[in-house]
Amino acid sequence: MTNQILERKETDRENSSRSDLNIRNIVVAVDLSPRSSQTAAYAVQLAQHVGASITLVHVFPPEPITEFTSVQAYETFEEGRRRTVEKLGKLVKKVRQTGIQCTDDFRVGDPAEEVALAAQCVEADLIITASHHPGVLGRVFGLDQAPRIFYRAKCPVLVYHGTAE
Amino acid sequence: MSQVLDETDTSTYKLNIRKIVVAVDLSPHSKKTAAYAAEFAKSFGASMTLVHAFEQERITEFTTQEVREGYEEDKRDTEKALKKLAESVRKTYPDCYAEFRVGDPAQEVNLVAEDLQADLIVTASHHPGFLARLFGIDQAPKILHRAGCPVLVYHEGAE
Repeated sequence: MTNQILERKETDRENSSRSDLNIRNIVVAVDLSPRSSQTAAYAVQLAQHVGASITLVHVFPPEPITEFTSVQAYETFEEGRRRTVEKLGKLVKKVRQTGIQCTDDFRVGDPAEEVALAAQCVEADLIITASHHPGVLGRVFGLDQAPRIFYRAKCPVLVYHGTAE
Repeated sequence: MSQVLDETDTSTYKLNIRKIVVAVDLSPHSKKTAAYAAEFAKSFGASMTLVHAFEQERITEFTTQEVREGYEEDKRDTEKALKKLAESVRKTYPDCYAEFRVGDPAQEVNLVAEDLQADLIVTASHHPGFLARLFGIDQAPKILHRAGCPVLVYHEGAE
């Protein structure tokens, strides 16, 4: 009996404390690399803990400024885009299987700009993104998107490094 | 961890955040950062450690006694300010500690995180201009690139 009371108190404490952390919408930026499922898994666990929904965002690079040199080049580009949309859809399905409400947002453009815009659209309380520990030159030339995202975002940004596979 | 997405029953796996390191520069925004981190800590039942790293004085043979005394006084005042911030957090969340360090902020924050085996680092970012970013004046990216655990950036615009 005492144990039950203690457990109930613990649950009550947990529930009341959860409501203080007001995270309802989480935007998860994924580059669809093998590490993306790790980032998504971390986001799922956090969403389960706080009772939030997830929007998975992937940003595809825009069409090259120069015209496609051949029809084949254009088709390859379009095929790449179709495959990426499919991949994002599969990841969304996986997240939904965990019981978390999840939607996808496929965008074209600058990754950091688009992720920040996607977060504004859904009034996200948190953005989760991965970082790939780039070298010094990579950082100077902005190859790592994480700092670029948090300089543009209007909400907190959680950068997940992942674990070695 | 990606197994979570492959398992049917995810209820058995819970995100385990037990120790949170909060990097504060003791600017007016630090109070907000600490309050946000406290909400996070409370939600997970984690302990939180506020860390401030005081920049090392560059002592040369030309450094006067007056300058040294001024530096020591600044150091004492900063340590007091950190303790005061921790005390104010403890009023709403008692499991809060303070760690005052001397040295490079990003390095020291990550050393504390390593020592404590922190599960999360919370830091602020101040949206500096392009040049400030290039010359590494904002500590958030530096902390981020050295960290061995997830980093939550709570920037000035966030409420």
